[in-house]
Amino acid sequence: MISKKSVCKRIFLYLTILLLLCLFIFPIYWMIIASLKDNSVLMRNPPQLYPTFSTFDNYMTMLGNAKYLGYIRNSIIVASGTVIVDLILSVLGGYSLSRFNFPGRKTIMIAILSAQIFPVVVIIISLYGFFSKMKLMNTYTGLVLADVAMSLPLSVWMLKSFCDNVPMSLDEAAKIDGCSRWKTLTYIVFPLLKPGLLAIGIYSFLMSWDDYLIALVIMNKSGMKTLPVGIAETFLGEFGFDYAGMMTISVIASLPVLLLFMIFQKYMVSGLTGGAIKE
Amino acid sequence: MGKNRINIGHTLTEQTKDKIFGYLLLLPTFAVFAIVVLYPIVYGIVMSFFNYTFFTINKTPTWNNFGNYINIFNDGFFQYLKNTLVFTIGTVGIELIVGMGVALLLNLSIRGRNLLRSLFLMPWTIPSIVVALLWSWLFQAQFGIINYVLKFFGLIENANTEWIQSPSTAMLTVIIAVVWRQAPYMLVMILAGLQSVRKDLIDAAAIDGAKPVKIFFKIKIPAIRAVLGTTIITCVMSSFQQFTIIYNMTAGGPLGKTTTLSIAAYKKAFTNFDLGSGAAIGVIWLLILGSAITIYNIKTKRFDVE
Repeated sequence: MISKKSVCKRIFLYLTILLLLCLFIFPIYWMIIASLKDNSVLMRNPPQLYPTFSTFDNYMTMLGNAKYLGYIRNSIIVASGTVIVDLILSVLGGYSLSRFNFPGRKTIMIAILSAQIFPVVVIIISLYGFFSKMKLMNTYTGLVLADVAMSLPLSVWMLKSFCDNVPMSLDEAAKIDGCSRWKTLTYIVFPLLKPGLLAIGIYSFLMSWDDYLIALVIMNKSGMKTLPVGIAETFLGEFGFDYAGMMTISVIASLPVLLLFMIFQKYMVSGLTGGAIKE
Repeated sequence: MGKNRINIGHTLTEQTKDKIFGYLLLLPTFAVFAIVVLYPIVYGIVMSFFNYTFFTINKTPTWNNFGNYINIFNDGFFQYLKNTLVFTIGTVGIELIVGMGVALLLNLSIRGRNLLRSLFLMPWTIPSIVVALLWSWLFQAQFGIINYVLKFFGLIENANTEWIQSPSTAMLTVIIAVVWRQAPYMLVMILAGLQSVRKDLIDAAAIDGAKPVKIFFKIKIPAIRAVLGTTIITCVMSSFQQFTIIYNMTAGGPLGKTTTLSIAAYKKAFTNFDLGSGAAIGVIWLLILGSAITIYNIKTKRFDVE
């Protein structure tokens, strides 16, 4: 029998959680409904709290503007490039750190993680001069390279912990059967890393999609600007009072990452927590 | 983990081959780090002692007798350091309280825990630039929902209270925006930690009559100490690095009240075109944060990765 008191307690618990959740989610709700309203409605007092679906004009304006489409295209190219390079490097590096015992292995692992302490501002101050000399300013290659370096520390660590979970006996069996080291990695271990690769791929996509500071310095030609830089430039400048437009582009910028996250959230969470939680 | 190590090669050559293969696999990662992290950091540290500006970028830099350091110390460095500490302690402190609170709730025996966890994690995926615009809109003085709600409940007198542009509340607004995005990360990490705590320990303590508060402090906290430490350090580093949200909400203003070291270094380098002084701010920041984290790591032996 469940007592009345414990039922009340449970209801209270769920209500508390629900209330907290509403507080967390409310800004996202507010952003989405604002994108579907006209500025004249948004500047009303009291504010209209419920969603209306009468106008998609804001989206038409944004997506009909070649300037914004250009920003989106650049962001997609850079983020995809970052994901691909980050995946290749972290598979190689993570597998190496998981399987082979060589001198300096521990030091390398700590050094990789310590990279996050370095001020990004100092890095870009130097990169500005260096990339100018190497003709990497305003190139996808330059920004992808920088973005990869930012997401790689955690990617390598995550992949190492995913590799640790692949039984060593597989490698040994492959070796006995005459499989070379490279083939063991590509044919035996790699296919088993798929959930880990998803987590790392999404993580590096999120990082690159989010990057503002590095892109701000490296991509200063208008045709090469990424979405965050383009958004900031437009809506903190001449369109500072176009809140409907601001929220619309915000939804457009959030949608790809929100969707990716919602579809693959299971892998994401295990990737985030896997490296930090040890049995 | 030690048992996972390959140890098949019975001859020395096989083991040596393993080592070489291990190094080769790490080579591309090392190359990227060398180009984009190590070289720029070393170069930045060196340039912090030189006359290095936008206009002299292609000339041989000249030694300037600690001029950059003198310049930044005369130019509000300690104010910026104080702002950074207030911002970091504020964000990480609130993230910890919120993250721990919600994690403890979700750790109780409830239905739909995984779904709830994912919903709570949603703000963490929102791009920082969007976070900045969104919270600027929420805090907007005339039409913002926050002023409306506060006025509705009679918590403020002036229905058009200025939050972001007011020197006394600007810091609070950026802290709230950053916490909103970062607290879910803290929550997910702490929840994962709590779920790895052995159930039998908690049950045994409960049978012996330990109160939930005592179980929390004596069993759960010690059990998740490692995760907690790693997560807090990650959040401290990310608060030090925070640029996008602050820069796009307040641009470091008003009256420099939200100028953290990150903002100050950027402005020195790219608004005043003084790359050397910008690097100098970064070097001192690196010294402060680097020594704090090293001391923590030595004390807790976190460097023992195995």
